[in-house]
Amino acid sequence: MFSCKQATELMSVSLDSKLSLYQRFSLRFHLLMCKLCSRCWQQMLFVRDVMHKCSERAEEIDFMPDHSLSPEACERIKNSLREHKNT
Amino acid sequence: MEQNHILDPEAWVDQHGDALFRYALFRIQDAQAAEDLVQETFLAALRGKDSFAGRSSLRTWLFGILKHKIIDHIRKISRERPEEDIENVANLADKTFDEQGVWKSQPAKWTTDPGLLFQQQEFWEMLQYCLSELPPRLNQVFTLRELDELSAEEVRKILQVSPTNGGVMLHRARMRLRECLEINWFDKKD
Repeated sequence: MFSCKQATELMSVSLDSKLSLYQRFSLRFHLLMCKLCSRCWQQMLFVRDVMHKCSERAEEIDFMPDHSLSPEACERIKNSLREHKNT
Repeated sequence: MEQNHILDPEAWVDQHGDALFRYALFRIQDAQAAEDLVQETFLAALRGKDSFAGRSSLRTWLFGILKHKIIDHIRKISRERPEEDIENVANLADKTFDEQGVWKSQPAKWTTDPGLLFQQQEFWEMLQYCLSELPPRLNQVFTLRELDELSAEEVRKILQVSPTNGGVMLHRARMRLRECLEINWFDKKD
């Protein structure tokens, strides 16, 4: 049986690629035996869902609310749009 | 109203400039480059405005363009500054496990209602904070994989990292983010 650290490594791999039958079986067995790893696995899945939701809602979430385009940048961008509109 | 705005690209800047800039800054942490990406996004939108079908909102369309520009930008800077810097992330998990790989800081129980959680601006701010606490390369690996939803292989190609290091970095990022949210959000809310 492998360690909890190795179990979390395998959990991560399973989110990016397909595990071998042996790996799948070993991980499932470890998760059945280990409450903490099982909890960590649920939370890892949850964090992934959170990230997907964050991407889905990117237009609504207030990212970096203390920052905005500087007036100079706004002007520069508008100028370049004006130039390109006329070409 | 929306239709009129399509015809007036300069109004796009007033309406959507800040939101696009903030998202770009959140992703690349470089204000000058973020401004440039916003400018490129608007120019690309101007060139392609006839193809904007109005099936999505103007902002959604602009964000779609910006997201591609961000990936291209990260690809470009990775080409210019290829680095594996796996050493920087190698020791990050030491606090989590002991030498035998047994939990040292045990995951706590999280009680949450995702429906409510996603409505809270404070939660998204905490997520941004936790992402910003990741070393820059870990942040890039993780956000390309989970925000842009690129395959792990695509992410490795963009950042020019080996499969082994890419896997290690994704594992570290996931563990660190889990831990950061636990300490700063779930522990405090329970």
